[in-house]
Amino acid sequence: MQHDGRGTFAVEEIEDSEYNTRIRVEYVSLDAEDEQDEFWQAVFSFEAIDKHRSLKIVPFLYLRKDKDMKAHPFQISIERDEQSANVQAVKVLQKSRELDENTFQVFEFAKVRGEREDTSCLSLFALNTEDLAEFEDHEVDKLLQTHVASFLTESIANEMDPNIILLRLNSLTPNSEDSKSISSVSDGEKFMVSFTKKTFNRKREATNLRQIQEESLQTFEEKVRVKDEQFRQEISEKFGVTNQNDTSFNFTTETVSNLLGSIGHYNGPLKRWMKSMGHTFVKTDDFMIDLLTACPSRARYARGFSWDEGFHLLPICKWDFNLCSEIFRSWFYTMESDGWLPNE
Amino acid sequence: MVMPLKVLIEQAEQAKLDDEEGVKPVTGLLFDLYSRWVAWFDFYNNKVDNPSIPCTFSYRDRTAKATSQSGFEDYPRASNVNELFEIHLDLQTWMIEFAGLM
Repeated sequence: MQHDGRGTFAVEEIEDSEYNTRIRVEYVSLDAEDEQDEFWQAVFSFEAIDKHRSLKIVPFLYLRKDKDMKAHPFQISIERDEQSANVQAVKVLQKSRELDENTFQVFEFAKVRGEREDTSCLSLFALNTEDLAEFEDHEVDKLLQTHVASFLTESIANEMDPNIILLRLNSLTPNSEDSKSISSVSDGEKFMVSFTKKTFNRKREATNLRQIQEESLQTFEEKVRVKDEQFRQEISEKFGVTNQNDTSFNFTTETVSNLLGSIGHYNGPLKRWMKSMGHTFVKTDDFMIDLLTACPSRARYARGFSWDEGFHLLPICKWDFNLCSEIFRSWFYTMESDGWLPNE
Repeated sequence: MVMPLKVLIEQAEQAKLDDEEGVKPVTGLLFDLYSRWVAWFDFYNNKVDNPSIPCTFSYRDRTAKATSQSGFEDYPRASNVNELFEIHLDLQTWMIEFAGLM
């Protein structure tokens, strides 16, 4: 795993032996023409761990509206390259009321390597459901359970104004003349996601934008190679592990990356331990608090913890002073008027 | 939070020797947050001090099973809660570090 914590470079590999699958995610943020613009790309690769056995995985990517849709409304329009249920490339335009009139967020999804057969595809599933408001961002699997039958069997369920869009990466194997069944993504397939936030002169320019093209994968891989080299050099200099072939270098890279990759924005109520309320945590105010914090054990402890953050900040401050400074400020701005700093 | 603060101050002192300009971001952060760190120190110094022995400290509102104000919530402590008369070694150590920093 490699992660710079600055949102500019990350590589992560996940191995799941039960499903004979190795998933590699590479992410690079690219220089935009204007400071207000944003441009990043990511590639998802799927490989069989044991080449004598097939993969057993049907991965999906999703894009959803914020839970608090009133505060952050935006429109999604979907455009496909092919007027077919099984699409090879998908584009999603988002427009938020918070942004300028002609500022769009354009998501492009496309298969960039793999068997170019008709049976192998990127399938779209767009849905407008009231259920979405009930689930947190990380709970989309619960939503899927509600709609799992149609999600796994239908190629597309389109809505005019979807609040969640899912892209299923799989092969469709003909069962008979009339029906098809879904099979696993094929070995060696790669899918690219490209994000562009930019102010256009006209909406048509956003609609016509094509960041993923024939040579995109090759260009992307070269950028990852350069970023990888810069990242390794910076790890060497800042943590004093000069021999990049040594196990201590890999250990440092893995642990620092896991910590940096866990830094995120959190939002929620502040709770204070109250003896007078029967030894329980009680909300101090009705308003929500924002917090920028590291949270390396998200699976077991998915929130910031001020005691641990002290230890997290030791390597973070060594790595990047700006990051360190923002996290320090974020924690200390949560302080109550009596000088109490929240534990978590 | 006390430990990285100490490291930052050490870095600022070193940076000042090396490069007068390079120290500015660190001193800027220290300047911005200093009043809050004073309030934080005062909170511990005045709200969790132990009146039975001067300059000793203990977490408040704990139960026999958990000390939720502590970073070691499940660290084993005395089974009988004797608030205002017990001293917590971990907090005592943090306060020595914290007082030295301030």
